[in-house]
Amino acid sequence: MPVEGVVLQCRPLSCQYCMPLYYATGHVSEEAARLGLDLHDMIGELDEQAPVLDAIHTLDPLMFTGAGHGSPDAFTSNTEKDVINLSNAYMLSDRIVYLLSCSTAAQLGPEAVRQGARSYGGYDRDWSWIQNDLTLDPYLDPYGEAFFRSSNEYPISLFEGKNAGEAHGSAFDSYSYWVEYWRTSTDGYAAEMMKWLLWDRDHLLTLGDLNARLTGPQQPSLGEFRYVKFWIDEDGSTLEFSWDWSGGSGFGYVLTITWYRADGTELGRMDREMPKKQNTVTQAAYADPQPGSDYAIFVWRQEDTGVEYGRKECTLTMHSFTNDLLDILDRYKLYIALGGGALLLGLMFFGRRRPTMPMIYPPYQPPAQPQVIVLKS
Amino acid sequence: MPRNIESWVGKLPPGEADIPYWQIAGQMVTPREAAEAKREAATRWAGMKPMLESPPEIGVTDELLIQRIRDRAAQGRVPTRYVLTKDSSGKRVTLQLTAEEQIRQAEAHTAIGEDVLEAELKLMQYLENL
Repeated sequence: MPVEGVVLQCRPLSCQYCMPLYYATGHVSEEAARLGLDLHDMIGELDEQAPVLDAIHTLDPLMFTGAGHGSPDAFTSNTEKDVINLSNAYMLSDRIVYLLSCSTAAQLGPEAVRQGARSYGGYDRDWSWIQNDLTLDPYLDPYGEAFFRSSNEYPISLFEGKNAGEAHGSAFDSYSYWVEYWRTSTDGYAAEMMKWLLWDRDHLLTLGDLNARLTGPQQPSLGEFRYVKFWIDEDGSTLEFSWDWSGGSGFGYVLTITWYRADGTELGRMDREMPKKQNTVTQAAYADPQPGSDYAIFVWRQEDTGVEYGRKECTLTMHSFTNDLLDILDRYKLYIALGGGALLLGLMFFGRRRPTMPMIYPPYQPPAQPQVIVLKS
Repeated sequence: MPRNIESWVGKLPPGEADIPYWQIAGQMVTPREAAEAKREAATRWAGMKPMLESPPEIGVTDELLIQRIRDRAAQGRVPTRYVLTKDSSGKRVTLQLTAEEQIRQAEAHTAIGEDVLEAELKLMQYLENL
């Protein structure tokens, strides 16, 4: 089963007129990194059939994407040799595919879907573009930008959690946006820009399951544990659990806390339905608690589906003045840092030497003769 | 100028319709010639109107599409275009298409030329709906 969130991308460098493809797919990589996806780039020499098929086999990516020359029956490599063709289309089985290439959606796409690809986005005719300088990033080219941004919209939309049908719609909308942009342009090439953007837009096809997603359905709310603590009183009678959760809370969420011995033996469990974001709960301790080695795991999940939003582990700590102080420092380190910073700035501002005021009036001149006032009784 | 030139010509005394009544751009024009010009224009418009009102794909010929591209190219408005196609069965394909190459391919009705014509028609359909 392909690994969710893993993407393999082909980025040619040497094929004819391929530098724009290399740069354009770089923007796809940047977006994947920004969104926390595990994207593997097959650049230049790696963008050949053997390394690519090997990477598909090893990484088992849920999404296969890339750019390169193509024909109805093949998608090609850095050296314009076949990477995926009708004979190995089964390698795309179970995967979500988008290929910026000519004509592959005419035969290769249907064959890949027939062999089990979840969805296949591509073009059933030649993909055309106009660009002034082919050595540059097309995003910086007045003509190339429209074509490559529109194409990139497809994989980036998938990265953002849209399904294949929605990703198609986003790319279509982007092409349409740029067609209108050029319609109102005074540039001499405007009509040709419109013509080939319309061409690319209308020859983009998505085959297979339009509901296929790369990252699973969007969750209503996500979050992370900013703080968890597992305490025991000094007399060993009471356990205390504290947490601070950044995401959604209340109805629909469950917090499960399970505590263990160091060897993994479960000692107890607590389910908090409709948990609060920040809370501390206590309960009677178990026999023979071992601070420093016993530990607890906090798991925040969705109640109906059981989907986990986050988990964090911490070891059992005994309440003592030192531990409590260390905990306060750890828990409120941000506020302490901010307070300290503010104090430092205050000292710098108020404690500095005032600049000398310019002399406006003549300096005070004492009278030539000191005035003596004698108080007589 | 009379409002209805044809009926006005009929009201003129004998022979008056065939002698010059106007001088337009140095050329003498008789009332009958003016009436005839109006009738010709109306006939030409009547012939054009159904064609103009029909969707582009009905009235548009390859010749017209090619002429549009030729004229646009003559105005310097057709940039070089690139495609991501590949060599198929050892046959080198054109990946860089200058304006001249696009026109040549369209005139020869090659596969690339057919794309050029289809794309031009697509543009006309889009413009038609503005």
